Amino acid sequence: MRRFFMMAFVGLTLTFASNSFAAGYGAAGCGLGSMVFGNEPGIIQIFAATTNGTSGSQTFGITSGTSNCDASGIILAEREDDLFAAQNFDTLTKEMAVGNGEHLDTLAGLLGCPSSQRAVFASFVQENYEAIFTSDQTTADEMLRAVKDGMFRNPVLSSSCSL
Amino acid sequence: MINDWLLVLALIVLFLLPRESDLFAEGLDQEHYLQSLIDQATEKRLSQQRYWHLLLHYKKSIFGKYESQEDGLSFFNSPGGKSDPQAELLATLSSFFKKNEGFKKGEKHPQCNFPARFKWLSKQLSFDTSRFPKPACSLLEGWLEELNPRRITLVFASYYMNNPASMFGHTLLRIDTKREGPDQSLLNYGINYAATPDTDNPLMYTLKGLFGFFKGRFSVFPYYTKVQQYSNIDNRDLWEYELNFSEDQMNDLLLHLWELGGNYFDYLYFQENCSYHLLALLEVANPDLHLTDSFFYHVIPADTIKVVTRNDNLVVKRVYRPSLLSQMNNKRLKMTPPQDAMLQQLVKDSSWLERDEYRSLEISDKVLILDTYLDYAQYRNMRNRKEEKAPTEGDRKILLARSRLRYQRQDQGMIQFSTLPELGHGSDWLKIGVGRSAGQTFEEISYRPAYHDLLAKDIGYGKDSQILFLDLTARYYNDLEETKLDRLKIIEIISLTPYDRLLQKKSWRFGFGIDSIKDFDCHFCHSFKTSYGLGFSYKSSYANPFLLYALVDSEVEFSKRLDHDYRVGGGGTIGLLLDLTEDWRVQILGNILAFPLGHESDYYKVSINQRVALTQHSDLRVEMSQMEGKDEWVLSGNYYF
Repeated sequence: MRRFFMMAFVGLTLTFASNSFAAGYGAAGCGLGSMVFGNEPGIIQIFAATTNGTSGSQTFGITSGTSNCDASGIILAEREDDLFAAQNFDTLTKEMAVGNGEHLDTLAGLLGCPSSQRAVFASFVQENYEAIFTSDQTTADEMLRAVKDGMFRNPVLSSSCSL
Repeated sequence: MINDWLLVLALIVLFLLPRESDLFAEGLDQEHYLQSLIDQATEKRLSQQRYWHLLLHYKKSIFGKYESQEDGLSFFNSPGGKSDPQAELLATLSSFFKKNEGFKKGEKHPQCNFPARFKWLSKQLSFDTSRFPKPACSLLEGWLEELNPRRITLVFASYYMNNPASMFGHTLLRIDTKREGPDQSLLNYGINYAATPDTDNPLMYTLKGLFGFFKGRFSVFPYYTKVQQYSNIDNRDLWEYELNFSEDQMNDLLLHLWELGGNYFDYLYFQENCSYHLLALLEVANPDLHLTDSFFYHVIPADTIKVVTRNDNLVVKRVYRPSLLSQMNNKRLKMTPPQDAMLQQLVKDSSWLERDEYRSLEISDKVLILDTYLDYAQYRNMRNRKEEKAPTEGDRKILLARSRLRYQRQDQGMIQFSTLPELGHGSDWLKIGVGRSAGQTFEEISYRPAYHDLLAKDIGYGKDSQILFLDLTARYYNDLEETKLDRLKIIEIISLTPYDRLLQKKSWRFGFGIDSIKDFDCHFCHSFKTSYGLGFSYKSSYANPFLLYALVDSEVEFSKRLDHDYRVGGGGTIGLLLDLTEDWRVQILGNILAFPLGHESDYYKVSINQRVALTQHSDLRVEMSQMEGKDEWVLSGNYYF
């Protein structure tokens, strides 16, 4: 029962998260870049992020109050895994199939898995690859939701990672 | 009864409220205290100390006057602060006593705006902080708490030949936080200093960059976005230099970065560029370092790495982060030729997975081919796609097949496709030579501030590439007893990337400058010349010392000495680069050009050039050529510094 509630909670927060994606900002992070490019998903977000990097609008001290960051350009903690998954979607797609990689380890860390469990996490996503990427339309937040759902059902990861 | 209570309450409130005279006394006390601080600061000549100059970015001009490099006026508390260290110091002291209230939205108290100045002055003058107003600097505190530095890493992004703005490399800093876990460095924050370009026009971009019309600003964002951009999309290897700073020094660096964050410097492509101000930040962290002093008129990112690595014990560790393509090429080097052929088949058609040829492979061979393919597919997708898409049907088939193998291979023994930038030869170049051209003997002198030519040793630089900037050559002809400008290459770029069936990269060159016309006799006349060539290079394997290239050329020249004042034409180049030993390089080159437009003419040129390196920073060269039956040779000694 408790697990059911937790899953429902995760499902709900993720739905909100994906809604907020649609609500006007994409995964690039903060600042002008993401405002200019809006919520166009995908590779353009890299350029949005790059624009952030060169335009300087993401400099700290500028109060924008938007786009996943606080006014000093720091990413809001509760958005960190969403942002990471969306920004590194291509890399994660590959590393999950291959079953190792730095981005995969980083995601494991963001999902609360201690270093000792990174290999377990990597095997887990490789073994459940088809369930995580159900179609060729799978988006980054669908991927992340499937990973989290699966982790809750996995006895080892649900107990060792603090999701 | 209730009225009585109200009266008592009102009296208590009145009593607790500060009285006018109290406020006045407090103001008077602060004024006295400020005056005593000003007296002390003046007596101690704080405004003449190096650290104050570092914090305010003051540099002495050739006339001995101080001027701050900072160009955002909100960086200064005094109207004359940009050029008056003492006035700025006094104004800063008094600004710290500003009342806590009355700030507009977005404005912050000077104590929150300039925490590094507050900290340093507090130490120098032993501030009694109880006599200062105490603003809440919550934004700053949250920022410091999140960044929470454990280490600082200087990152060098190596060369990316296809984008002129990136050719000199790039540097940024990474703040490594105290986040737990060994594999979390992607989540750290990168600190970047970059220009804010407001034009896409390459000429305007270049001119504005050269003359400081862009604003340069610091920004902070997750390191993974930079890895994404440099490693995966631009295909640039990253070199990470972990620096040796104490916790207190790192804290000082962040406090000062905060002061710079809301401001800007005029961005100068060659002087005050991405690398220069990072060095200035490091000096604030540790004022014993003198990093910016060694740069006079140009700062090249690789040179900043050289300066930093020359300081004893400043670099603790170097980490190589191969780009996506370098990772792929590492796997390809482990392949046998039949495996590489299989990879090519897979690239053409994903249904190759269903063939017996694949099915009969050992699992480790399957893994090697599929993993290499997936690197390639990721690179191709990230470069070509404009929008987020899950993998294509073909790629998806391969991803699924790969995941079903349930095999995790570890990349061991990575070959480094780029070399440490600090090992490269100096970027300034001086050449002194003697020679003979069409029967005339001469002495020759060349100088250029940047950067690297095809004949030079390429340790620390992009392989088989050339970038020359403001390369000037003059000759003194002995019989004429006259000095003549031989050529001025404003910019010349050559990028020879071996052709690869998988990546199909082209080779190209571009040049722009003044040259002597030598195909007919016009007595050392000059033309304004621009040329462009496109073609292919061939190298049988990565380690092969032999590179062959062929380019199709086009050229436009303007000169009063040409009929109709111009000529337009095209032709071709065939070249060979050969490393006979580590220090001995030979280049053999043949050009043919025909000009059907303007001044109708054509010519051929054959050259053999050789370089023998004496040290990392010096070499001897013999350059010989023949053009329309006229011979020329130059023997030279070259020094890089």
